[in-house]
Amino acid sequence: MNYPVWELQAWGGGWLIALIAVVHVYVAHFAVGGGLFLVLTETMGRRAQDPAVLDYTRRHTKFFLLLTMVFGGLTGVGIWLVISVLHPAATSILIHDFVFAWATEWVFFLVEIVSLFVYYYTFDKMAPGKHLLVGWIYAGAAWISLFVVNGVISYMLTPGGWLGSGDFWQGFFNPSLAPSTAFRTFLALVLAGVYGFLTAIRIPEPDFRAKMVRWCAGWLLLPFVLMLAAGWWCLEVLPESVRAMLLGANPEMVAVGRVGIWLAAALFLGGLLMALRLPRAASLPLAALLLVIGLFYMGSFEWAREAGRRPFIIYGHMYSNSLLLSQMPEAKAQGVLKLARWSQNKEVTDQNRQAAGRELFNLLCATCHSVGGPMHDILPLTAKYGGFGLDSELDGMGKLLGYMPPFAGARDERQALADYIVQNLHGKKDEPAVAFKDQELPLEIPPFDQKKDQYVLLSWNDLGMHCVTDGDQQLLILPPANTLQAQLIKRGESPELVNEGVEITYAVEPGHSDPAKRLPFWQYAKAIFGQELPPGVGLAGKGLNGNLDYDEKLGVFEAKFIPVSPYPDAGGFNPYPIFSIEAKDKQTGQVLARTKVVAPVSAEVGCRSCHGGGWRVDNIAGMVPATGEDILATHDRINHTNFKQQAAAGQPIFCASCHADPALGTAGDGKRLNFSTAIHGWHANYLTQRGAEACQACHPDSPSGPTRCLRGLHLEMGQDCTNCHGFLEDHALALLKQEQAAGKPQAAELMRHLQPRTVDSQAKVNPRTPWINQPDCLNCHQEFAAPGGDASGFNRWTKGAEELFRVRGDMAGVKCPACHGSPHALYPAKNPYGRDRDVIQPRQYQGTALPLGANHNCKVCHTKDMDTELHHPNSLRMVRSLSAD
Amino acid sequence: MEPGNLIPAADAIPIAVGWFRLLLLAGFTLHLLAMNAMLGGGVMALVLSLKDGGQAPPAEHDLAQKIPFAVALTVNLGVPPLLFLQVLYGNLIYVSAVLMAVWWLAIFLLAMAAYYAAYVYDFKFAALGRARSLVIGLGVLCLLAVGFIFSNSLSLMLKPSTWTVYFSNPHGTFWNTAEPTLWPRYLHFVLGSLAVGGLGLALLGAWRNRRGNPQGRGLIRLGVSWFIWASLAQMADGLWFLLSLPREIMLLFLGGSAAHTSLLWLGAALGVVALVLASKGRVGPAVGATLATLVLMVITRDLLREAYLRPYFSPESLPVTGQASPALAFLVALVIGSALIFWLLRLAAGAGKES
Repeated sequence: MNYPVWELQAWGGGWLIALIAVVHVYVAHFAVGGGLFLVLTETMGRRAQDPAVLDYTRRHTKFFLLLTMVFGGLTGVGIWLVISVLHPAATSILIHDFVFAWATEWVFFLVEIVSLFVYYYTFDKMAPGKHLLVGWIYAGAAWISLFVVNGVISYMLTPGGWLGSGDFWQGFFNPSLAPSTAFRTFLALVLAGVYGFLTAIRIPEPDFRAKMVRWCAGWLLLPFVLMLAAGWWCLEVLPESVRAMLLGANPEMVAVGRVGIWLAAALFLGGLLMALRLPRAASLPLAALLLVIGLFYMGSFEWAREAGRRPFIIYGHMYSNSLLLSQMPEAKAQGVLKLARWSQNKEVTDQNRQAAGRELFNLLCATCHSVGGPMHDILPLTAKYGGFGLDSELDGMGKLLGYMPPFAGARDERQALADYIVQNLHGKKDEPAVAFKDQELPLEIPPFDQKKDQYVLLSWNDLGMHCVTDGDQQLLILPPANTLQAQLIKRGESPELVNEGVEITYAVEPGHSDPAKRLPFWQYAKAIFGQELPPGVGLAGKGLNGNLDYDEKLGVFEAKFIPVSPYPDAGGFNPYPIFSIEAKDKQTGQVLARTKVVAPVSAEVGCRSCHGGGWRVDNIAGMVPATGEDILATHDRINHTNFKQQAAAGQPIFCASCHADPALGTAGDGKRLNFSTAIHGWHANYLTQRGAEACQACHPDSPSGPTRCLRGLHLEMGQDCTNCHGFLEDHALALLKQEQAAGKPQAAELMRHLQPRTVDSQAKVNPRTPWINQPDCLNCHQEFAAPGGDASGFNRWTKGAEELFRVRGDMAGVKCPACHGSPHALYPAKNPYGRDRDVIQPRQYQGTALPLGANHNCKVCHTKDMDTELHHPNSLRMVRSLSAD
Repeated sequence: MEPGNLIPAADAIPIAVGWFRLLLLAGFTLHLLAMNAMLGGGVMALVLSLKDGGQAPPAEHDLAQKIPFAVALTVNLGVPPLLFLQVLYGNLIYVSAVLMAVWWLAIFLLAMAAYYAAYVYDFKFAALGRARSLVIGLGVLCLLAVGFIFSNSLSLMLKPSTWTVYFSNPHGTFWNTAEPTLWPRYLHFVLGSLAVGGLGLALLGAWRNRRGNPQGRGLIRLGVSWFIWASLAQMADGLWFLLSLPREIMLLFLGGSAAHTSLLWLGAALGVVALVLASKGRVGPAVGATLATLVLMVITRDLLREAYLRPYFSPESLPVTGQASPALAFLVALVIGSALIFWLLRLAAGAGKES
């Protein structure tokens, strides 16, 4: 943060360094191996007194001199020049800490030049023994040059004890010096053979040509095995984090590693082929090809070395963008614009947002990323994001995927950078979401006559919202599976729950009866679940109308996994379809009671916020293939799966098949995190320090969205997701701790960067199993009373499923949601699609939107007023919410 | 924006600053000698190739054979001064390099082109015919461009007040041509190269002459005439350079500071002495006087840099870590390397005589 940043646009991204460095090291290694090649070839010629061999050596020396001294020497200067303008801060450290290493290297560079000149210009003029000695001096000086330069280069990857002491010798004699020097030495010998071919194949006399080509092939082939062994040794000495990066934690290494292996194999095979007596027409192009293969092999090695060092330029000391590790806290606290000397905008304002964003891009991104160039182009990497998505991506950067540095800057700088990339580099406009306007869909409340009717039929949805994902062609996160429950009460002075002798049926409202028309689920059900599922039938065999079956254990009538869709048959989007519920006498068929209930279901699942793609339906809901493809590609990249290809081949991915999901009843594979933990644990790292908007990014509860899941009493009281579930970090940590306790090591990795917000430390977060351990209502509503001002539902969980709001009942066996409504839609709930849509039964039975029986409405079930609080304490208290009606 | 605030924080150095200053000045002097021989030799060769009408004079062929060595030495001897410059002034030179990064990077490509041109000129001397002018001309042009880029960046490094140009041009294409000292400074190096290159040729002539080679006298005549004319022009340019300096700095060299004044004018006087000696054909003493002038001018240049930077930065403020052992290791390497080079050169000088 000390230097101005050269704004390179398309030319950036390390392309210049890669280009100059790779061609330089390719020639520089030849300069080392080639020196030994010259002197040993000359020795062979002298011993055999073969003038042809000596003549070949002399001609090869001229080629060697012109290539290594001019091109090699000047490109070496080129590297120096290019790093000083692209990484001045790192260059400054390398120069200042290792000045005498460079100075020593210069001495041997000078010895190289002088000895090579003497070797070439005195080839036939000097006594053979002395001339060979000159050759040995050259070879020795060249190798020492390699050794000294490699000391500094390997230090950048494994600084070892230097990190603590700053000691020159500890930095120089670092852990990877010996193995990488060995590797480079053997590589240099291999390359001596590769370059040797170029002059050998031009020998006119066939027998002699064959002899010299075979001699060069020996140089290529014999050190090859030693080179591979040294490569293995390199890997062995690397710290675990660097090795992991090389072995695929850095995704670009997967391709680079594969290419490197193929190139090594091709080089070796090429060497073998050259050893055969090929016709000149074949050996000439093969030699040229081997030279190119060698260059790319060298490139893949250097690339791997750089990739293993990510996100640092000096490992553990300076990030690739020149920020020192030690500066990170300051950069985050006061902002990187203030920290940087060469920034004009010291803080982000509405007026300078784009200009500040550009400076932030230059300071933090431009060192490694080009804009529209051939290397590390930022444009395709960020094309899928909007301002929110990219800001979140920056939030999570460097936490779980270690090849990027963490975002170094203040909160507003992060957003300014995201906005600059999205709006300026991509030219996208971050359109504000068009606020959904409340609707009043027609709804007829069934009649109820408190004087005459003998039964009260209560029905509810178990969760208050069921999300459905409709990107089934790629992946299935949540199938259509809405569960309705009901209880029938026979009214009287002492009302009774009726569990026998009755049949309770459900039927969806007209216009929602054909979910297969607009949900793709049934097209892929066989591929996903292995069995044909008739259109319109859900995973538990229920259709859009049918019976609720009595569940003895729960004490309710229930229809599980009704595949109701938020897409009406005729088009549009309605996440609150209505079901008619009817109770009949089993024997007589007489209708005992009728009611209606909403079955909340939404496809407003916001994966697209970060995974790109648009909404599938009416620009408000649904998942397009692009979103699903990106999710799978991301999963593939990080976890080395092959999902995108599998989906393209007709096998969509069902997340819960590997990641256990108690909500869907899948056991997963037992090794991976359960689905809820995996998805919250991962994404929480990208959505820190936010309120309910973190939840709303994925769940259908955006205040401007078309679903607005939280619509009950708690919303009315000014609360949001976080009051019960905790902030996203809290929520994720509780899930992760449970999985950690279950012996899944992945949990710790996801927890590493998460700071709890509702409690002080991770230790204080109580673990929970998703769907089973939920915030207990009684945490806040102690003794069923109104909570205090700072009540929080987080961190005290129901001990088991039997304590869940949706399972729990009163002493009479009446379930909590029967009188209070579904979770997230507690009476008096306000539904955006109609005033009464979520309060049908309170309206039907007592004419208000309040919980059933509230404000002394005992006569809904009882035929007289009651004065004992039999259902629960405080049940006879007048309710606070007067806006309910 | 306050220019001083733009100066990056500098990193610590291992041993006392004086050692690096010594190494910088010594390295720069050696680089300068090689560079002068290279550029001066190149320009002389170009002029000869244009004048001769197709018949290459022996002096041109001599030069053609020597220029590749001069390029190799210039590049190699350029390493120490650039290294030690970065140790003492890295925080300044990196900034000026970034501001003109495109040209900065062109340095090695231009130098490479010049290097290959020098080899083509040497190895294909006869075959090239009249195209020799084109080849060596291209080489000289590249070298002149390299020098111009260095003059730009090294003058830009001294003027943080100019650096704010970055905020309107962050693309690395800045030329420091508005700097009043740029042209006289650049010309100073070019003319110096012609003069020293000429003197070098005269020295070669004198050496040949001593060995009874009849070409010697011609080379002396040619070299001395280059030396004299270039040095006379240098005097005018030196004055221009002095007058183009900021007034308070210029006055340091006009009596304002005893050290500044005496070093500059002693150097200039020695230059005049060299001129007189050369004009009398006394090449050896002229070379001695010129070397002394060169050393004094290199020190004067360092004082000038200090004067420019005084308001902003001094390497004397750099923290010193005190780890001297790497410096000793370098010293050992330098002694061994020098011995090897000495032995190699002796061996080369004797080559061909023993068989």
